[in-house]
Amino acid sequence: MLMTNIETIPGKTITACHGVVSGSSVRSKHVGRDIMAGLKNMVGGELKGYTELLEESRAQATQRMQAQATQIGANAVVNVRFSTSSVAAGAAEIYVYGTAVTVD
Amino acid sequence: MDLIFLIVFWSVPIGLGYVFGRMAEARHYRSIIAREKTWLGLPATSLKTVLGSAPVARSELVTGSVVVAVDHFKKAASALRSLVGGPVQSYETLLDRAKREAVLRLKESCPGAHEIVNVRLETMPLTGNQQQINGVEVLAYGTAIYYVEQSAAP
Amino acid sequence: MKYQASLPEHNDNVTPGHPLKDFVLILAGLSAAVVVGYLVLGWLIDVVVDRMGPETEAQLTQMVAWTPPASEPAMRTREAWAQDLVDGMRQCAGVSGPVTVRVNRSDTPNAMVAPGGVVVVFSALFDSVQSENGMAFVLAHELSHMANRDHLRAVGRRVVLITAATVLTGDGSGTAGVLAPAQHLGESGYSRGREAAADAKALAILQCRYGHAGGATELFTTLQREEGKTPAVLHYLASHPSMAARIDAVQVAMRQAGLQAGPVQPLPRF
Repeated sequence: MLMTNIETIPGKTITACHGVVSGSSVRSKHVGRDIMAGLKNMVGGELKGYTELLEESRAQATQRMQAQATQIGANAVVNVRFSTSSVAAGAAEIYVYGTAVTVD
Repeated sequence: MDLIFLIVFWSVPIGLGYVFGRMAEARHYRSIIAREKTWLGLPATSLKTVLGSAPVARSELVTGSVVVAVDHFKKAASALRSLVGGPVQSYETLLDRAKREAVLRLKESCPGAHEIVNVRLETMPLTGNQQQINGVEVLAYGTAIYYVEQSAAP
Repeated sequence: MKYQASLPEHNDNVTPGHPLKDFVLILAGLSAAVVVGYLVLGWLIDVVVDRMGPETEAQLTQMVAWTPPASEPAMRTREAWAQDLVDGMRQCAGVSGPVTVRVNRSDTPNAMVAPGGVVVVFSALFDSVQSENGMAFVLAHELSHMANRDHLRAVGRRVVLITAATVLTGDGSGTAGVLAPAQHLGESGYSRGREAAADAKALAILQCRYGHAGGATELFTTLQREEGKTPAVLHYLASHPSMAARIDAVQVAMRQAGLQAGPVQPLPRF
């Protein structure tokens, strides 16, 4: 499904707007349980395991948003925004939202 | 005897963090600077309008993200700073590296694109037990624009 | 719009300066502040305890008093003898309240004061001294701690200093731990000072009770033989001065006060 984070889809015309759609996924952000992360805390550097975990969570949230858009009859989402927030001790929610539209 | 143990317990992680952390940081910065030069040709702006005037073939949402860990030297330095106030230099370099790396990965995810518009950055801390910050995650996202390929002049 | 590509020459997003220099400066400054604050608070506690009246002291001691368990039958004769010895020295020590002596079986020679006027003697001490005067010096040392109110000082210091450390560094942060070595060194130094003061007063008590200071260093000499070669650094960190230092201090004090060693009373067979 087409997605952009600007208000239009360059090269296409928006014919209908269906309102805001969103997808979210909640993940635990405790680094302590990961042994590799514990070692990395000695020397710093990138936590590749966590980067992948977060990309997967984001992909899931995006898929949920696209599924919701399809359900309401749209074929594209514009003005997509990402947001992360702490919801409970040790957990954060990844929230993706945008405006579902129909383009030709 | 337990004083010596206490001193060792505190200074070994801080020392290791300083030595290896500095090395890793210097290496990362060298990589960042080299790749920024390479990707200079692909403009990434936070504008909502497309720079070029050529017709656009397609566009897509692209993202780049990175998670960087904090070593014990950085934690100790920021703990001391929190008592006296002032700029926390050790975390400044951490966030600077993470943001530039995220934007570079954003560019690397769409090598054929002609430009990326509406680039946004999201930063999120990673906490462990006792609400200590163990690392930081930065997400960069934008819209990659592909112009219509100009066919060769007949 | 025309795109003009360029990169900045230097990074303005980072504060210039070496991170280690920053770290070391703050650590040194904070440790110095901790040491100074420590000394000032410690001095204040000493002043308060010195000015405290006997009623206040009695009230505070009541709050933390410890009732000893019933004595072991095998130790009763030793206990009765040590109790007589202590009762005979109470006036010389300036301790007004009753003092209870307990003897506990142990392989390590030691003696300690518990709050509420209790002196606990560990049975191996009887094998480490050669005369009644030697034992009297150890008991006089413990009586001096009581007379100096050292237990109140120790409790006061712990409460005030831990509260100050927690309040200043904030709850649950690791910062208090980074400054812990400075605190530990300060505490050891203070403790050694109080032990030396108790030794000096014990000497005076001995002189008052027996008319001479013979037998004062018996325990230290015995323990020095068993101490072996511990490096000087560990003594610096210990709560008591080394045996050699204590023997020297007692001999110097005797010379300065013009005290003589005299014939010692023998230790009874137990």
